[in-house]
Amino acid sequence: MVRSAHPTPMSHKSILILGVGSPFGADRLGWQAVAALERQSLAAQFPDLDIRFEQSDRPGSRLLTLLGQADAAIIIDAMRAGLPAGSVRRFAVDELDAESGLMSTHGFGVADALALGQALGGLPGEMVVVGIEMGEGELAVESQAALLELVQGELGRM
Amino acid sequence: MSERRDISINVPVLARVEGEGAMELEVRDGHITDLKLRIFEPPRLFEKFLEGRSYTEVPDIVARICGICPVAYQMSAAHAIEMVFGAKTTPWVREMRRLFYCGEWIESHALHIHLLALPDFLGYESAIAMAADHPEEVKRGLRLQELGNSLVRLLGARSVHPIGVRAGGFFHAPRAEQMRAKLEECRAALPEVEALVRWVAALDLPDDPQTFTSVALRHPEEYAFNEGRIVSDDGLDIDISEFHQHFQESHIPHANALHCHLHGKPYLVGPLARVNLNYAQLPEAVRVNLEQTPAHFPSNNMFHSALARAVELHFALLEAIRILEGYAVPDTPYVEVTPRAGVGYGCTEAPRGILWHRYELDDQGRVMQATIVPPTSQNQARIEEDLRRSLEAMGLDKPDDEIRLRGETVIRNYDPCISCATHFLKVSIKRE
Repeated sequence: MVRSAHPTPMSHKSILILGVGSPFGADRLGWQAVAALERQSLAAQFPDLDIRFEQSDRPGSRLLTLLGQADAAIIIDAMRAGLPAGSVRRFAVDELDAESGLMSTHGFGVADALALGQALGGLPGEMVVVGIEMGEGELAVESQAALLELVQGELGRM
Repeated sequence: MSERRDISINVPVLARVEGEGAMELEVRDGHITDLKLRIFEPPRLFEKFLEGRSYTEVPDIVARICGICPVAYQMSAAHAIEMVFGAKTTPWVREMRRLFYCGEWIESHALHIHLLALPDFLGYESAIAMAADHPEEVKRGLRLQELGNSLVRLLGARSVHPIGVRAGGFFHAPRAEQMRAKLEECRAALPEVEALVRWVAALDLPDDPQTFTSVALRHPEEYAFNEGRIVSDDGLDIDISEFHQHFQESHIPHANALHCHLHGKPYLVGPLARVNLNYAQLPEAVRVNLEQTPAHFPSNNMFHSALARAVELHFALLEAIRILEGYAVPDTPYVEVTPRAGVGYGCTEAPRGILWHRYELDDQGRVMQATIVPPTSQNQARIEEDLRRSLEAMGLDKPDDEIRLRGETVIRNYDPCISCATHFLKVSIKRE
């Protein structure tokens, strides 16, 4: 499920904004975040970037294939970090715990895939991961505002 | 002379298997007194979810049982439903179902060879640790996995939990230019896959001959995916509807998966069982490539499972090329089906072995009762049998870490899919 926000991508830096998780349940925050960002006019705000939005249902190692097509990426996922529900937090790739050795295919999460990508030297040059603390409900308006501000800051640097 | 220790080893979470399970081992006076492959993952209850649902919903619901082999679940279900309705599909549907399955075998076998099993054979804790020293092998695995996934997407719209299957065929026929492009990708991958078979054959795999019964589908004219009779190397040769007259499922206290026996004994399903039973039906190019190596099938070395996966990956790629070369857009990608009451059976070859379904439908095509027997629950008794003899053969005087690693290696060699089997791994060793 890929949508480009810019009609002439060839000469522009390719940015992937990727929501991962499940389309259902508490793990759907990554999908909802990308849907919310897509409603903002990010393409107009960043005309030098070709921004693509994508939602992926627990991509496992396929995450590396998705990332291989981008110059830079922002990955958004639900997290459980003991923070208040709806908290939005930015991580650099090397801040993630890959739970080394724990690599089942069903359990092959974002951290595992990114650790494998780093070992292979195949990650985009610029990459951040955004975690949203899981709660019971939908993505809160406050979370959406915090997310937009964070993503606009990242796109500004990209 | 080594000291006879009492041992208790508990591996609470098995890594590089699909789903949640554990191994527990107790040794007293140098003998194994207790060995359990525990399956914790909660029962999935899919058979009950299906009751009352229309036949139109069944392919999409059963695809959710597994993220690695959803094609298998959809194929067994579609065949069983069509059997109830007396529906006859077209040659185009039959060929596309084989192509769909080729994609799943390529994706699943590439994943297991490179990311799940290979770290055991090259001496690494994980694929991430292995990737620093063997990046090209890991990249090859990822490329082939993506090729398989892309074949599944052609017919299923997406590779995980595809949605393109319906009773009678597919919802959508791929365009000719899509198939021509995929044909070129498959042809380009062929030299790499031929080399992969020779590379796996040259790995220093453990030499562990043992006696076991292989069970697989056999079709008179082809290497079986979707159709055939259930056969064994012990002389079994039955129609798929006769499954429960020969195979017994039983609940055991230490696992959420059902154990399954053939005439009261453990048996093997999956790549090694299939290659052992159906070697002669592999295309000549697959056999000629393999015959350049010292390996020989049928094989009683369980660790030749890894080689059997590579052989089947080669087969699946050649079969995909054959089907893509003959592709033509059909008038319709499915045949209409008319619901009627009855009982139907489906048995197809999932990447891990035969996946057996039985459905009882009412006259509207609603599910009255469903039974699903996945390959991992069929292999579970065989895995426990293999663990017991492998660990005793290795020597129970070895350090706990060595015993634990060998146990995990034995289990991973079966590529168990615990998520599928539950109605299933973590390892515990106890020495007293």
